[in-house]
Amino acid sequence: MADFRLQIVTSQHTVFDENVTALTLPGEDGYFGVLANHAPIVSVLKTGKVTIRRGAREDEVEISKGFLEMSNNVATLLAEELHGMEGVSGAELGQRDGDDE
Amino acid sequence: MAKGIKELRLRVRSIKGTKKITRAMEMVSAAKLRRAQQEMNAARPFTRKLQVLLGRLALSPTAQEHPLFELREEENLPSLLLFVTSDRGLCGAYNANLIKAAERYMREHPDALMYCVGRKGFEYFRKRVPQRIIGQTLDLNTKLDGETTDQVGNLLLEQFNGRKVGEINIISAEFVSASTNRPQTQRYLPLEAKAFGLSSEEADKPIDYLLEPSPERVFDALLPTYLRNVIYLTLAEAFTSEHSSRMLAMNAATKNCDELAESLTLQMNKARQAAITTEIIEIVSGAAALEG
Repeated sequence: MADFRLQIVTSQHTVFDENVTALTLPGEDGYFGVLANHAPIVSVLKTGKVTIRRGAREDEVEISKGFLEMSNNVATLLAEELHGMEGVSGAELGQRDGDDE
Repeated sequence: MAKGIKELRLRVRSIKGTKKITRAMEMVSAAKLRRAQQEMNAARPFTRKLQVLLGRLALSPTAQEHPLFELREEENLPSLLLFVTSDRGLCGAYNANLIKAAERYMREHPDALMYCVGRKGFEYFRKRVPQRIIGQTLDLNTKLDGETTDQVGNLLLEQFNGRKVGEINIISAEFVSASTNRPQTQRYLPLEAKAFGLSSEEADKPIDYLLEPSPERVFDALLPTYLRNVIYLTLAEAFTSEHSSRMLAMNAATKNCDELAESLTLQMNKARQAAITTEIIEIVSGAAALEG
Protein backbone atom coordinates (compact mmCIF):
# COMPACT_ATOMS: atom_id res chain seq x y z
CA MET A 1 0.00 0.00 0.00
CA ALA A 2 1.22 3.47 -0.82
CA ASP A 3 2.59 5.62 1.93
CA PHE A 4 2.25 9.33 2.51
CA ARG A 5 4.07 11.77 4.70
CA LEU A 6 2.60 12.78 8.02
CA GLN A 7 3.78 15.75 10.03
CA ILE A 8 2.42 16.36 13.49
CA VAL A 9 2.94 19.86 14.82
CA THR A 10 1.72 21.13 18.17
CA SER A 11 1.71 24.71 19.30
CA GLN A 12 4.90 24.01 21.24
CA HIS A 13 6.92 21.92 18.79
CA THR A 14 7.09 19.57 15.85
CA VAL A 15 6.75 16.06 17.17
CA PHE A 16 6.54 13.73 14.24
CA ASP A 17 7.57 13.65 10.61
CA GLU A 18 7.48 10.23 8.90
CA ASN A 19 5.83 8.21 6.19
CA VAL A 20 2.66 6.44 7.21
CA THR A 21 0.16 4.15 5.54
CA ALA A 22 -3.14 5.23 6.99
CA LEU A 23 -4.69 7.60 9.49
CA THR A 24 -7.92 7.57 11.43
CA LEU A 25 -8.99 10.90 12.84
CA PRO A 26 -11.73 12.32 15.05
CA GLY A 27 -13.56 14.71 12.73
CA GLU A 28 -16.27 16.93 14.13
CA ASP A 29 -18.85 14.81 12.35
CA GLY A 30 -17.27 11.53 13.37
CA TYR A 31 -14.17 9.47 12.80
CA PHE A 32 -12.78 9.27 9.29
CA GLY A 33 -9.85 7.61 7.61
CA VAL A 34 -7.20 8.99 5.31
CA LEU A 35 -5.08 6.99 2.87
CA ALA A 36 -2.44 8.05 0.37
CA ASN A 37 -3.61 10.20 -2.55
CA HIS A 38 -6.52 11.56 -0.61
CA ALA A 39 -8.11 14.64 -2.19
CA PRO A 40 -6.93 17.93 -0.68
CA ILE A 41 -8.79 18.37 2.57
CA VAL A 42 -8.91 20.60 5.60
CA SER A 43 -10.84 19.17 8.49
CA VAL A 44 -11.58 20.43 11.97
CA LEU A 45 -10.86 17.79 14.58
CA LYS A 46 -12.40 17.38 17.98
CA THR A 47 -10.95 15.75 21.06
CA GLY A 48 -10.34 12.09 20.42
CA LYS A 49 -7.97 9.36 19.30
CA VAL A 50 -5.80 9.51 16.23
CA THR A 51 -4.67 6.15 14.89
CA ILE A 52 -1.48 6.10 12.85
CA ARG A 53 -0.78 3.01 10.78
CA ARG A 54 2.63 2.24 9.37
CA GLY A 55 2.59 -1.13 7.62
CA ALA A 56 1.47 -3.54 10.30
CA ARG A 57 2.29 -1.21 13.15
CA GLU A 58 -0.45 0.83 14.74
CA ASP A 59 -0.06 3.73 17.17
CA GLU A 60 -2.66 5.70 18.97
CA VAL A 61 -2.38 9.25 20.28
CA GLU A 62 -4.93 11.51 21.84
CA ILE A 63 -5.50 15.02 20.66
CA SER A 64 -7.63 17.82 21.96
CA LYS A 65 -8.78 20.08 19.19
CA GLY A 66 -6.82 20.44 16.03
CA PHE A 67 -6.83 20.43 12.27
CA LEU A 68 -5.85 18.07 9.53
CA GLU A 69 -4.61 19.44 6.29
CA MET A 70 -3.69 17.19 3.42
CA SER A 71 -2.52 18.08 -0.06
CA ASN A 72 -0.04 16.54 -2.49
CA ASN A 73 0.26 13.49 -0.28
CA VAL A 74 1.55 15.41 2.70
CA ALA A 75 -0.71 15.38 5.72
CA THR A 76 -0.22 17.92 8.45
CA LEU A 77 -1.85 17.37 11.78
CA LEU A 78 -2.00 20.57 13.78
CA ALA A 79 -2.89 19.82 17.36
CA GLU A 80 -3.22 22.24 20.21
CA GLU A 81 -2.53 19.47 22.65
CA LEU A 82 -1.32 15.95 22.20
CA HIS A 83 -0.99 13.01 24.56
CA GLY A 84 0.45 9.55 24.28
CA MET A 85 3.21 10.47 21.84
CA GLU A 86 5.76 8.81 24.15
CA GLY A 87 4.95 5.32 22.88
CA VAL A 88 5.23 6.21 19.21
CA SER A 89 8.49 5.35 17.51
CA GLY A 90 10.00 8.18 15.52
CA ALA A 91 8.43 10.80 17.76
CA GLU A 92 10.64 13.70 18.67
CA LEU A 93 9.55 14.71 22.09
CA GLY A 94 10.20 18.35 22.69
CA GLN A 95 12.54 18.81 25.58
CA ARG A 96 11.15 21.47 27.79
CA ASP A 97 13.78 21.99 30.45
CA GLY A 98 12.75 22.85 33.93
CA ASP A 99 13.00 26.29 35.43
CA ASP A 100 16.50 27.57 35.73
CA GLU A 101 15.88 29.98 38.54
CA MET B 1 45.55 62.67 52.05
CA ALA B 2 45.07 59.47 53.98
CA LYS B 3 41.34 60.07 54.05
CA GLY B 4 41.29 60.26 50.25
CA ILE B 5 42.86 56.83 50.06
CA LYS B 6 40.29 55.35 52.37
CA GLU B 7 37.42 56.80 50.37
CA LEU B 8 38.88 55.54 47.13
CA ARG B 9 39.35 52.11 48.58
CA LEU B 10 35.72 52.00 49.66
CA ARG B 11 34.55 53.09 46.24
CA VAL B 12 36.64 50.46 44.50
CA ARG B 13 35.21 47.85 46.81
CA SER B 14 31.63 48.92 46.14
CA ILE B 15 32.22 48.99 42.39
CA LYS B 16 33.58 45.47 42.54
CA GLY B 17 30.43 44.47 44.40
CA THR B 18 28.28 46.03 41.70
CA LYS B 19 30.30 44.23 39.10
CA LYS B 20 29.56 40.90 40.71
CA ILE B 21 25.86 41.66 40.56
CA THR B 22 25.84 42.82 36.95
CA ARG B 23 27.92 39.84 35.93
CA ALA B 24 25.51 37.48 37.66
CA MET B 25 22.55 39.18 35.98
CA GLU B 26 24.27 38.88 32.65
CA MET B 27 24.71 35.18 33.14
CA VAL B 28 21.14 34.65 34.30
CA SER B 29 19.90 36.55 31.25
CA ALA B 30 22.11 34.50 28.97
CA ALA B 31 20.61 31.29 30.33
CA LYS B 32 17.08 32.66 30.09
CA LEU B 33 17.77 33.92 26.60
CA ARG B 34 18.77 30.47 25.49
CA ARG B 35 15.60 28.98 26.85
CA ALA B 36 13.35 31.72 25.51
CA GLN B 37 14.91 31.35 22.10
CA GLN B 38 14.29 27.61 22.15
CA GLU B 39 10.67 28.19 23.08
CA MET B 40 10.30 30.78 20.35
CA ASN B 41 11.80 28.54 17.67
CA ALA B 42 9.71 25.62 18.82
CA ALA B 43 6.52 27.64 18.53
CA ARG B 44 7.28 28.82 15.01
CA PRO B 45 6.40 25.74 12.90
CA PHE B 46 2.83 25.65 14.19
CA THR B 47 2.14 29.29 13.37
CA ARG B 48 3.99 28.94 10.08
CA LYS B 49 1.85 25.94 9.08
CA LEU B 50 -1.33 27.75 10.01
CA GLN B 51 -0.16 30.74 8.02
CA VAL B 52 0.52 28.70 4.89
CA LEU B 53 -2.81 26.96 5.22
CA LEU B 54 -4.70 30.21 5.76
CA GLY B 55 -2.85 31.77 2.86
CA ARG B 56 -4.24 29.03 0.62
CA LEU B 57 -7.72 29.28 2.05
CA ALA B 58 -7.94 33.04 2.38
CA LEU B 59 -8.79 33.56 -1.27
CA SER B 60 -11.92 31.44 -1.07
CA PRO B 61 -15.23 33.32 -0.96
CA THR B 62 -16.15 32.00 2.49
CA ALA B 63 -12.98 33.50 3.89
CA GLN B 64 -13.53 36.84 2.25
CA GLU B 65 -16.96 37.02 3.83
CA HIS B 66 -15.72 36.06 7.26
CA PRO B 67 -16.11 38.90 9.79
CA LEU B 68 -12.45 38.67 10.79
CA PHE B 69 -11.45 39.70 7.27
CA GLU B 70 -13.85 42.63 7.20
CA LEU B 71 -12.40 46.08 6.73
CA ARG B 72 -14.16 48.69 8.80
CA GLU B 73 -12.49 51.84 7.65
CA GLU B 74 -15.65 53.79 6.95
CA GLU B 75 -17.22 53.08 10.32
CA ASN B 76 -14.97 55.42 12.26
CA LEU B 77 -14.25 52.94 15.00
CA PRO B 78 -11.18 53.54 17.17
CA SER B 79 -8.12 51.40 16.66
CA LEU B 80 -6.69 49.26 19.43
CA LEU B 81 -3.03 48.86 20.17
CA LEU B 82 -1.61 45.81 21.89
CA PHE B 83 1.56 47.12 23.45
CA VAL B 84 4.16 44.66 24.71
CA THR B 85 6.97 45.81 27.02
CA SER B 86 8.92 44.23 29.84
CA ASP B 87 7.90 44.15 33.49
CA ARG B 88 11.33 45.06 34.79
CA GLY B 89 14.02 47.45 33.79
CA LEU B 90 17.78 47.11 33.51
CA CYS B 91 17.53 46.10 29.92
CA GLY B 92 19.06 49.04 28.12
CA ALA B 93 16.97 50.99 25.65
CA TYR B 94 14.55 48.10 25.16
CA ASN B 95 11.50 49.75 26.71
CA ALA B 96 12.44 53.29 25.71
CA ASN B 97 12.45 52.31 22.04
CA LEU B 98 9.12 50.55 22.33
CA ILE B 99 7.54 53.46 24.17
CA LYS B 100 8.77 55.83 21.50
CA ALA B 101 7.10 53.69 18.83
CA ALA B 102 3.88 53.48 20.84
CA GLU B 103 3.80 57.23 21.40
CA ARG B 104 4.10 57.80 17.71
CA TYR B 105 1.27 55.37 17.12
CA MET B 106 -0.94 57.09 19.67
CA ARG B 107 -0.21 60.46 18.06
CA GLU B 108 -1.08 59.16 14.62
CA HIS B 109 -4.26 57.54 15.92
CA PRO B 110 -5.73 60.15 18.26
CA ASP B 111 -8.67 57.94 19.20
CA ALA B 112 -6.62 54.79 19.68
CA LEU B 113 -7.16 52.61 22.71
CA MET B 114 -4.49 50.48 24.28
CA TYR B 115 -4.02 47.12 25.92
CA CYS B 116 -0.71 46.72 27.74
CA VAL B 117 1.31 43.61 28.38
CA GLY B 118 4.19 44.45 30.69
CA ARG B 119 4.55 46.88 33.53
CA LYS B 120 6.90 49.40 31.94
CA GLY B 121 4.64 50.39 29.10
CA PHE B 122 1.56 50.27 31.30
CA GLU B 123 3.00 52.59 33.92
CA TYR B 124 4.28 55.03 31.35
CA PHE B 125 0.90 55.44 29.66
CA ARG B 126 -1.15 55.20 32.84
CA LYS B 127 0.44 58.44 33.97
CA ARG B 128 -0.29 60.15 30.68
CA VAL B 129 -3.42 58.73 29.10
CA PRO B 130 -5.15 56.50 31.68
CA GLN B 131 -8.53 56.83 29.96
CA ARG B 132 -7.20 55.17 26.82
CA ILE B 133 -5.97 52.00 28.47
CA ILE B 134 -8.66 49.33 28.34
CA GLY B 135 -6.75 46.66 30.20
CA GLN B 136 -3.41 45.16 31.05
CA THR B 137 -1.59 41.93 31.76
CA LEU B 138 1.27 42.47 34.17
CA ASP B 139 4.00 40.44 35.81
CA LEU B 140 4.27 37.64 33.33
CA ASN B 141 7.98 38.00 33.98
CA THR B 142 8.80 36.55 30.60
CA LYS B 143 7.01 33.30 31.40
CA LEU B 144 4.92 32.09 28.53
CA ASP B 145 1.86 30.11 29.20
CA GLY B 146 -0.88 29.23 26.78
CA GLU B 147 -3.63 30.21 29.17
CA THR B 148 -2.56 33.82 29.56
CA THR B 149 -1.92 34.30 25.87
CA ASP B 150 -5.33 32.78 25.11
CA GLN B 151 -6.93 35.22 27.54
CA VAL B 152 -5.30 38.16 25.82
CA GLY B 153 -6.23 36.76 22.41
CA ASN B 154 -9.84 36.21 23.40
CA LEU B 155 -10.12 39.69 24.85
CA LEU B 156 -8.85 41.26 21.65
CA LEU B 157 -11.20 39.10 19.63
CA GLU B 158 -14.14 40.21 21.78
CA GLN B 159 -13.27 43.83 21.23
CA PHE B 160 -13.14 43.31 17.51
CA ASN B 161 -16.20 41.09 17.21
CA GLY B 162 -18.18 43.43 19.46
CA ARG B 163 -17.40 46.23 17.00
CA LYS B 164 -15.80 48.30 19.74
CA VAL B 165 -12.71 48.74 17.62
CA GLY B 166 -12.14 48.82 13.89
CA GLU B 167 -8.64 47.45 13.77
CA ILE B 168 -6.04 46.01 16.11
CA ASN B 169 -2.31 46.48 15.79
CA ILE B 170 0.56 45.18 17.86
CA ILE B 171 3.73 46.99 18.85
CA SER B 172 6.33 44.65 20.27
CA ALA B 173 10.00 43.86 19.97
CA GLU B 174 11.11 41.97 16.91
CA PHE B 175 13.94 39.57 17.59
CA VAL B 176 16.51 40.08 14.85
CA SER B 177 19.52 38.39 16.41
CA ALA B 178 20.91 37.80 19.87
CA SER B 179 22.41 41.29 19.74
CA THR B 180 19.68 43.18 17.88
CA ASN B 181 16.00 43.75 18.35
CA ARG B 182 13.76 46.57 17.26
CA PRO B 183 10.18 47.68 17.73
CA GLN B 184 7.80 46.35 15.11
CA THR B 185 4.21 47.23 14.34
CA GLN B 186 2.08 44.43 12.97
CA ARG B 187 -1.51 44.36 11.86
CA TYR B 188 -3.48 41.89 13.95
CA LEU B 189 -7.08 42.37 12.89
CA PRO B 190 -8.81 42.49 10.46
CA LEU B 191 -6.89 39.76 8.70
CA GLU B 192 -5.47 40.43 5.29
CA ALA B 193 -5.22 37.65 2.77
CA LYS B 194 -1.97 38.99 1.40
CA ALA B 195 -0.31 39.06 4.80
CA PHE B 196 -0.07 35.28 4.86
CA GLY B 197 2.70 35.43 2.31
CA LEU B 198 1.39 33.00 -0.27
CA SER B 199 3.88 32.30 -3.02
CA SER B 200 2.76 33.57 -6.42
CA GLU B 201 2.82 30.16 -8.06
CA GLU B 202 0.49 28.85 -5.39
CA ALA B 203 -1.80 31.82 -5.83
CA ASP B 204 -2.06 31.01 -9.53
CA LYS B 205 -2.91 27.39 -8.88
CA PRO B 206 -5.07 27.34 -5.77
CA ILE B 207 -5.61 23.96 -4.15
CA ASP B 208 -9.28 23.10 -4.11
CA TYR B 209 -9.68 21.81 -0.58
CA LEU B 210 -12.57 19.86 0.80
CA LEU B 211 -13.56 21.75 3.93
CA GLU B 212 -14.93 19.49 6.64
CA PRO B 213 -17.41 19.66 8.30
CA SER B 214 -18.26 22.93 6.54
CA PRO B 215 -16.32 25.93 5.23
CA GLU B 216 -17.79 28.17 7.95
CA ARG B 217 -16.81 25.72 10.68
CA VAL B 218 -13.27 25.46 9.34
CA PHE B 219 -12.78 29.22 9.41
CA ASP B 220 -14.49 29.64 12.76
CA ALA B 221 -12.06 27.14 14.25
CA LEU B 222 -8.94 27.97 12.27
CA LEU B 223 -8.89 31.75 12.53
CA PRO B 224 -9.12 32.10 16.33
CA THR B 225 -6.48 29.39 16.73
CA TYR B 226 -4.23 31.28 14.38
CA LEU B 227 -4.84 34.58 16.17
CA ARG B 228 -4.09 33.09 19.58
CA ASN B 229 -0.87 31.68 18.19
CA VAL B 230 0.18 35.00 16.79
CA ILE B 231 -0.07 36.41 20.31
CA TYR B 232 1.89 33.49 21.70
CA LEU B 233 4.64 33.92 19.14
CA THR B 234 4.68 37.71 19.53
CA LEU B 235 5.19 37.35 23.26
CA ALA B 236 7.80 34.65 22.79
CA GLU B 237 9.70 36.97 20.51
CA ALA B 238 9.33 39.95 22.84
CA PHE B 239 10.56 37.94 25.82
CA THR B 240 13.52 36.61 23.90
CA SER B 241 14.39 40.16 22.86
CA GLU B 242 14.05 41.36 26.43
CA HIS B 243 16.53 38.79 27.69
CA SER B 244 18.99 39.60 24.97
CA SER B 245 18.69 43.33 25.72
CA ARG B 246 19.23 42.71 29.39
CA MET B 247 22.19 40.48 28.73
CA LEU B 248 23.83 43.15 26.58
CA ALA B 249 23.06 45.95 29.03
CA MET B 250 24.53 43.94 31.90
CA ASN B 251 27.56 43.05 29.82
CA ALA B 252 28.17 46.75 29.18
CA ALA B 253 27.67 47.52 32.85
CA THR B 254 30.19 44.87 33.84
CA LYS B 255 32.71 46.37 31.46
CA ASN B 256 32.11 49.84 32.85
CA CYS B 257 32.68 48.53 36.35
CA ASP B 258 36.00 47.10 35.25
CA GLU B 259 37.13 50.37 33.73
CA LEU B 260 36.00 52.41 36.68
CA ALA B 261 37.64 50.10 39.20
CA GLU B 262 40.86 50.19 37.24
CA SER B 263 41.06 53.97 37.03
CA LEU B 264 40.13 54.36 40.68
CA THR B 265 42.72 51.80 41.75
CA LEU B 266 45.31 53.76 39.81
CA GLN B 267 44.26 56.97 41.56
CA MET B 268 44.36 55.22 44.89
CA ASN B 269 47.87 53.89 44.30
CA LYS B 270 49.08 57.31 43.24
CA ALA B 271 47.61 58.88 46.37
CA ARG B 272 49.23 56.24 48.54
CA GLN B 273 52.57 56.71 46.85
CA ALA B 274 52.25 60.45 47.33
CA ALA B 275 51.54 59.97 51.02
CA ILE B 276 54.58 57.70 51.45
CA THR B 277 56.80 60.13 49.60
CA THR B 278 55.65 63.01 51.77
CA GLU B 279 56.32 61.00 54.91
CA ILE B 280 59.83 60.07 53.81
CA ILE B 281 60.61 63.65 52.91
CA GLU B 282 59.47 64.72 56.36
CA ILE B 283 61.67 62.15 58.08
CA VAL B 284 64.67 62.85 55.89
CA SER B 285 64.39 66.60 56.28
CA GLY B 286 63.85 66.16 60.04
CA ALA B 287 67.04 64.09 60.27
CA ALA B 288 68.91 66.60 58.13
CA ALA B 289 67.78 69.40 60.42
CA LEU B 290 69.13 67.55 63.51
CA GLU B 291 72.48 66.89 61.87
CA GLY B 292 72.58 70.50 60.68
